[in-house]
Amino acid sequence: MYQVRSGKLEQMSILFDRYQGMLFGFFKGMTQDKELSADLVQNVFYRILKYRNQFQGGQFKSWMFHIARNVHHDQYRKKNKPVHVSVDEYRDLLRDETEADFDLHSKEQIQQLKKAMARLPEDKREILLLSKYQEKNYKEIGEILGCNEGAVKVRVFRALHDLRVLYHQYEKNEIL
Amino acid sequence: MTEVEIKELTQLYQTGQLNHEEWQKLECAIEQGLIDIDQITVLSKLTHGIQSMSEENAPAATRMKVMDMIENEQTLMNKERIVISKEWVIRTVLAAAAMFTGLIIGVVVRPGSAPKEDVALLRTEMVSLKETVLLTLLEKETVTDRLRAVSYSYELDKGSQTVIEALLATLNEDNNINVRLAAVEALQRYGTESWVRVQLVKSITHQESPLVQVALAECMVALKEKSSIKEFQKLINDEETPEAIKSKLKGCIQQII
Repeated sequence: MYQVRSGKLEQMSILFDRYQGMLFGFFKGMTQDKELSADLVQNVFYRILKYRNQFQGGQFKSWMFHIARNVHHDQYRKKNKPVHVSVDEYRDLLRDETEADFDLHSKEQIQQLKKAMARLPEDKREILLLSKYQEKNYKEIGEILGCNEGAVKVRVFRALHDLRVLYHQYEKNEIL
Repeated sequence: MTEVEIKELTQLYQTGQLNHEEWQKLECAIEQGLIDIDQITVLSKLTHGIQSMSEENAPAATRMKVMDMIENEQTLMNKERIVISKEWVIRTVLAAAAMFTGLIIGVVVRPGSAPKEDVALLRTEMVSLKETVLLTLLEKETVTDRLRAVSYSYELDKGSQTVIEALLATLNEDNNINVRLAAVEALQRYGTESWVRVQLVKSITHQESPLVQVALAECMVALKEKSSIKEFQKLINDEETPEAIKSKLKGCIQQII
């Protein structure tokens, strides 16, 4: 990123290749919409390019997710309603996913987990996705969210607890 | 908090037996880092599950769009560099020319010195340089620069066709009203040329800003250009033209007649 900031814009392609999957996963987790997620990924890189001189150093990934949150919030404001899909729509989305490393049993579990994730309130879904992509670096997540490390841990705990409840509801077929 | 207490709390959580007070205790311990979320097996499994979710790449089209974006930004950056260096060259040339002119004039004004043709040549070169500066400034992104360019035209005794055409293009295409208004005023000086008057008349219906329309009307009054009446009539008949502008235009028509 330092090179990009100094004018070597061609280095942006390396950053894109390294982080596009993470961003796409983050946005898809937040919106459950592939096409929209692709647009949002593009928006993030547009802002990175435009505001490259604002990068103050530190972890690029945290800065990028900070931008990603803003891009997502702007999109949310634009639509003025939470993005939510029905379980059936989500099932369709899941058909495209590949979980080659899991046997059938685990694959089903992961799919149930995804469904449960989709039903979580947005802020809880967001913190779990940030936790995934920031590799549980709670300090960095705190910087992105503007709170301290301890508060992040509690928020992750609460989100996981809610996810656990929803997951069990799916398991018991209480939610179809 | 002892290890036994921690174990007890996590077990109570996992079996769903925490009361309100214990729940708060657990959250407090997590906040302070006394309990790691991964120590709570059921939650740790969920975390692991989230980590295991497959990661998908953004569509190839997104990559192409981002690469295009990067390329465009790069081109823009290079252009800015060229403009800066171009400006620097112009300034240097101007400074050198001014020095050189001073030197030559010093020699020429001495009685019985260099011939008058040399002075005329120098003047032509100076005019040409001024024109180059004007045309460069007109292409600048900032309004101030473009306004400077228009006012620069007053320093030219006689505008060349290129300068007048550039001013007409500014009048018709510049997105800033102030620049267009300045262009009307500057072009009025060239109103003695019939082709300039024709272009000014053509520009009347092209303008969307009532301010520019009025400025053109006043210019036509000053030039007593009768062919403009037809164009003004079109504006008067247009329902979208504000009433105040219509009455102003009617007044101008009366003056031209």
